[in-house]
Amino acid sequence: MKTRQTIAPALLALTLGAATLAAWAGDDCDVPVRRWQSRDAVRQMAAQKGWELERLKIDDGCYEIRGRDAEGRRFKAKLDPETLEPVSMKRRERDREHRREPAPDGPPAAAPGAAPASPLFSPGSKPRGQIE
Amino acid sequence: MRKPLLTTLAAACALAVPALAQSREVTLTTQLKNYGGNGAYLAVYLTDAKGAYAGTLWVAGGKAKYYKHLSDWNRLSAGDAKRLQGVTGASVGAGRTLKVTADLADALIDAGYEIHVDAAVEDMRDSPSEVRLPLTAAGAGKAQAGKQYIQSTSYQLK
Repeated sequence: MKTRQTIAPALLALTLGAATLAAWAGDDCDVPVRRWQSRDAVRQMAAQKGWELERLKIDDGCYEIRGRDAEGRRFKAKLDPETLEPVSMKRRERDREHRREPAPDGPPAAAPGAAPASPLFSPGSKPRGQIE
Repeated sequence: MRKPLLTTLAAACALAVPALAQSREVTLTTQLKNYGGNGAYLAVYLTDAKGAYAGTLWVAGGKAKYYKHLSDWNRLSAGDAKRLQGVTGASVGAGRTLKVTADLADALIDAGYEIHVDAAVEDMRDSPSEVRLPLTAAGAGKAQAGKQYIQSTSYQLK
């Protein structure tokens, strides 16, 4: 009886821990359809970055794009459909050489899309975020 | 007689236009503790005098699937389809500092608005509204400590 009383909270803690891990792991996306940006927004963002898109599809709930970056290197990237930030990106340096870039953490990432829509900001101004 | 009238009108307009369009540059500095985990997702947003969501200043962290862990911001801003437009950046590593600078309407200061910062870290506890700072002229430069991931948050007004 006593053992059961000890095991039950431990099992519950393990289950909760596993649920937290599952919620954060992986490179797939989980965004409700109403929050998705359009395919045109993806093409516009790519054009702003100087990327030449050869293919645009949806995979694991993310946008997946293939093409050439501004330096002419082939790449494949998964984009978050709401923010259009890269979730993962692979670049081909030469013929059979691959490089995987981790998700951004540290240096500030460029915000995709147009000026902010919030009425809090003065018209034409844009907030800046910087990590030191 | 006509000339002084025109001069007065011109002067009045010159004074009135900047007053209408006046804004203040706000720089919000959030320093994180060395909590020993992955980069933190942070949402910096404002609520009005009634506690209702007023707008998002910045969201640090690029994967939208994790935004549910910034639970207060995610719930309050759910109706704002453009909540992320132009205000997203990378997550913030432990021990590092996020500085957000924005030109806010002067009318928001000393009007009951509050700055909130929600924080979340992979495999660690979520921390909604970890910091709440009233947006007032007197509160500028006063640091407030967080409970979990945030060492301190303060803002400067220009």
